[in-house]
Amino acid sequence: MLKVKIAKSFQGFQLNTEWEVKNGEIAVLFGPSGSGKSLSIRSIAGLEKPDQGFIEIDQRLVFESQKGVDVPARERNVGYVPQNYALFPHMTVVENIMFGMGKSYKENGRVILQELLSRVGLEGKQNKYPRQLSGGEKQRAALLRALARNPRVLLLDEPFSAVDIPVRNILRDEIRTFLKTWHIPIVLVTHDPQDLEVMATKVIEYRDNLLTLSNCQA
Amino acid sequence: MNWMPVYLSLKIAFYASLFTALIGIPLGWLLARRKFIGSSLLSTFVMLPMVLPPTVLGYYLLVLIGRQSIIGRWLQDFLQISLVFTWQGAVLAAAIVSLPLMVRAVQASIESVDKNTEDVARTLGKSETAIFFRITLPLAWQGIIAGLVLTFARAMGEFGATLMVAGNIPGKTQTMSIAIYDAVQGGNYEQANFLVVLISAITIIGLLCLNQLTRINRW
Repeated sequence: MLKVKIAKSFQGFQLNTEWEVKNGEIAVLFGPSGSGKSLSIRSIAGLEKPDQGFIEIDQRLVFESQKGVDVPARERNVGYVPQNYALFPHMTVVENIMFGMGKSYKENGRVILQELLSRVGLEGKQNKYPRQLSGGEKQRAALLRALARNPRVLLLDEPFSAVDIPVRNILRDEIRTFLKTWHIPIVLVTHDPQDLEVMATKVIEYRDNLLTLSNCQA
Repeated sequence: MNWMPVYLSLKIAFYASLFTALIGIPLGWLLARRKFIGSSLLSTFVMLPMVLPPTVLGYYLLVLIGRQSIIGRWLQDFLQISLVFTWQGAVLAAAIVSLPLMVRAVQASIESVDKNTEDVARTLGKSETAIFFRITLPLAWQGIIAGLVLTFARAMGEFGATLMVAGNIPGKTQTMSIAIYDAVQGGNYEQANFLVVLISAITIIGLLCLNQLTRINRW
């Protein structure tokens, strides 16, 4: 379970949002760019600090403005896949995925890793560098890297925007099926209505929160 | 032929590069990745040696570390070190003159590293130190090596500040560029030619190596 209630002013934007996602749900944050969707998931990951509110991951308070709780990103145990996937270019697929695993996990992790690689169709690619992968392969590698540590929540920022449109539809189906086996809250940011239709089990709408705009309306 | 200036120049340039790397890499990272009060002031200050005349820098250094200064006296009394008119003083002068080149190179190469990779590493449980050594540094190394080569070349060619701080003592502080000046003044063109050809060759080889290096990329 993921609970979010945050507010933040940011370069002329005003973000003010409250929602929650249950385990196994795929919540799609849907809205125009600049409405604070990315900011929201970056706040959950601990990469941005909201001005006010709280964030609770799996019954653990990781952020609370009034109590001064602010758990650093490295201790939040979230899986985060940014829009450009941000694979480590100097590491192979396997090195990328193993990067976040602890020592004990690394020893028996090889078997699990092989199984995961074949499940997403990356077998045979484990020793390739990111630049040798297609867009879809990059995305799946980044997804495995985010999931390799058994995170308490998975955050995906525009996961399909960097792949060609024909591949996108196939990928959506694959990823949705794959994610169903993970019983954690999944938050997906998008402005593509197709993503919403195929992926969402829950929709959280974001509106344009330009400060100037709301001032005009007031 | 007198090889002493060659040996001295190489030694001084080596230590100056080391010193510059130790200071320049953290400084470049700081300027590239942290926003703090006074960062633009620090940036300006670091770039100063690039635009100030070397003699002016040398004069500042003399005032700062000379025997009359607080730092100079402290070094003398507690560590029995005197930097003025020694090869260590020449190292300091060369390091400060070449520091901007190093900081610039490091800052630019770290800025070119995708911040998202560092962010992902944070969510994967890594400390800031681990991220620096396993993500930022390996991705920025080419620019850092380039900065080091330029630093070395600059330190080898240092003249003005070195002369002010370390003087022109044959066998002790007389580096190649100072020895060339000295040889020409004394009409010893054989020695001057020898040093000029050598310093040109070293510089050209260094830059060629640098060119090759920036082409290597295993990923």
